[in-house]
Amino acid sequence: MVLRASTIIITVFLISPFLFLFVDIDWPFIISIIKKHWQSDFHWTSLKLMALVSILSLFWAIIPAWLIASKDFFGRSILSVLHLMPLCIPAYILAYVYDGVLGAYGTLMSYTGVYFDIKNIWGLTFVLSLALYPYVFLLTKISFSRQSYDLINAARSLRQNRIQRFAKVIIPLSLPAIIGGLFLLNMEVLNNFGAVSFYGLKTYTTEIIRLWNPMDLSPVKYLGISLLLLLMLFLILDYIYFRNKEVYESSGANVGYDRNKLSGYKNWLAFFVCLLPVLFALVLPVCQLLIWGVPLFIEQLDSGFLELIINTLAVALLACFVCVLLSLFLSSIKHMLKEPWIDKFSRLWGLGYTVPGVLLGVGILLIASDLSKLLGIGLSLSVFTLAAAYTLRFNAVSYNALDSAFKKFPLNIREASYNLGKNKHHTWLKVDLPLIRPSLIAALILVFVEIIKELPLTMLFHHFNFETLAIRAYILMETDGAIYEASVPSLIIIFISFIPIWYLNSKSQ
Amino acid sequence: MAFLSVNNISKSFKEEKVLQNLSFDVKKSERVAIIGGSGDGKSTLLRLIAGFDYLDGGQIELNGQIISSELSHMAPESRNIGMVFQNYALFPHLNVMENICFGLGVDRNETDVKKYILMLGLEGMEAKYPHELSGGQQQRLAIGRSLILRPPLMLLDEVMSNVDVLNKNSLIKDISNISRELDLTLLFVTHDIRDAVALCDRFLFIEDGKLVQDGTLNEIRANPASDFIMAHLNLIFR
Repeated sequence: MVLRASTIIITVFLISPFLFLFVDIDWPFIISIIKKHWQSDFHWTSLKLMALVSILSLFWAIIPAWLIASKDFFGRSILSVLHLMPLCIPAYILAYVYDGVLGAYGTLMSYTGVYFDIKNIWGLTFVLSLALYPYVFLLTKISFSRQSYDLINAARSLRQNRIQRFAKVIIPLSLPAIIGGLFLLNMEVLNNFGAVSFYGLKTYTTEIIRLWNPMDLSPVKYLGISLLLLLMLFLILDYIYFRNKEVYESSGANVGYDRNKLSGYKNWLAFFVCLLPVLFALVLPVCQLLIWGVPLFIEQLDSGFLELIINTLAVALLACFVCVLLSLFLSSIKHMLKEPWIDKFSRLWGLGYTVPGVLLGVGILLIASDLSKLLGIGLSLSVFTLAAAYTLRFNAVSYNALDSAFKKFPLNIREASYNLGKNKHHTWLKVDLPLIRPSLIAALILVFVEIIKELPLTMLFHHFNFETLAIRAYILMETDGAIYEASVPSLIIIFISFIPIWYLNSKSQ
Repeated sequence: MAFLSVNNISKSFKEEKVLQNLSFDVKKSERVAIIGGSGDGKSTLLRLIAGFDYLDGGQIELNGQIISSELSHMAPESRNIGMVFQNYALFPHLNVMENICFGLGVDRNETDVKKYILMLGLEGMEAKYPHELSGGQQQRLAIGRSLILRPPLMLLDEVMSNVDVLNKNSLIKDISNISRELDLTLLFVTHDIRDAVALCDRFLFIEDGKLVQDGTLNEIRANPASDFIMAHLNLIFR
């Protein structure tokens, strides 16, 4: 009974920001506001940016994912890991690095006299696609590697050539994964604040942050509702398209490609095709940051900077432990009790991550504002609200990691423990917990990395005298002439994110 | 002249020899069963004929043309050989009609398509997806999808293993009628001699990647070459 009640309370906590958006709504007024929003510049820029970044990300992700999943060539294993590493570099860092490299008075200009003005939608598309394509790459690569090669062989026996097989079988079978990756990518595009504002464009997120005022919540609330309805439109379209196509991924025998070894020019072509995105998204920016940042390291590493690192780590660790404990509780309850209503509830537990962070931020601010009035203390901008915001947003990351670990449990293992006279609590402690320990560590790492990089939520909720590495990097990159200084916090963010991701990857391999 | 000629072929996976110096010929319109235990190399043999795997030694000729040898390998899509897979390998993202027409060009003959749908008892199901069909219907769809291309040689890989007894009998009858009507040559891989007897006139027994016996049922019954074959014959002539 206590467990069930706690599950309901936690679920309400996790979806409360979205519920609060719809409290005290004047619907006729809201409809007129949404019409206005949907005709505005920031609405169309958001949509245009989503479409352009999606197209370019598909270009970076699909062919390398297919080559890595289905062929064997020089550097395949290391490239497979390196394609995930751009996730360690926040888009706002990539944005100012590329402006520093290609823009006026940048690195390219100092050597060749040529420069490119990339502070426009095309430059932003390039930068965001490089920062975010790993979402599409990862899901697509997994889907490709799970395809049944019987299906590919069936297409061959039905006289389909290489291109026809790719277009008619391989890509359509992986469409749900590609769409899933694009969905995550587009949520990040909508959520992006740093890169978009640095390149001088307006989207929903930049508008919400521009109008952010804890004293008057109406404008951001209306913007939040407009954005939520736009997302619902996408979800409905997705549902309509996929509703009848239930069985996509193969199960059973002959799953995964029998990777054939490429030789000669094909071997090197595959290597360079897979290297290209890594070069632009990882190698080039990190090298440039090192060139800028290393000489300034000693100069910047004073006590103030140390406090910055401690602040970042403290808030990240606090939120990360709360997230993982919450997810551990929820996933354990779901798999231990196996009740249909909990299964249905579990679909709501990931909501915070499937919508842009600012939308969540608006809901949290509405709650914090009401609570502040009720308790008579200022909650809107505090470390605890920030930690709660992180928890609500990233709970999905840790929950998904633990949920998939529970799903991989050997058949009837829990029943075997019950049969040997152990109760549910003892079984959880002695069977469940040891089996999910690696995923528990993975969940901690993934949430930690996400929080270290997060900018929009941190911008919304940080107190004026509480800074994190992400905020410092953003403030410096926005300050004229401080672009080199911004590279120091940026490098630390990348370094902190890089190590655990590399560790996780090597463990999973 | 042999329609399909398998000459001294060998195939290994890593250190394991799956097929060793296997040879046999198949005449046009013949229906041949390949019988063996699990891991004896039956499916590998079909995959080599279809062109999905490469030969280590020997050669395969179809209609006088070398389609596989140590030196050359014709792509499966150019061989004009139909294959039905054990797990059906139906495209889950396409409905019945789209699966049937998968190998046809845009200039397909709609009357022909309808004829095959009718012949396989799939009428009224054109808009359904594979997961909405029964096991027997899925099997018919897999067969129809290959047949519509009118390949002169059809390879059937354990196609009865997932079908219940009632459906199996009617399916065997249908395959038998269709293959006669279209003058098909059939190579039918199975581990169950009872299915083989119901559909084929000639039987090849494979054990540990080697051809142990080749003949009609009466020839094999008169002189079974191994205990394995004897055990199989006992299933029919108890």
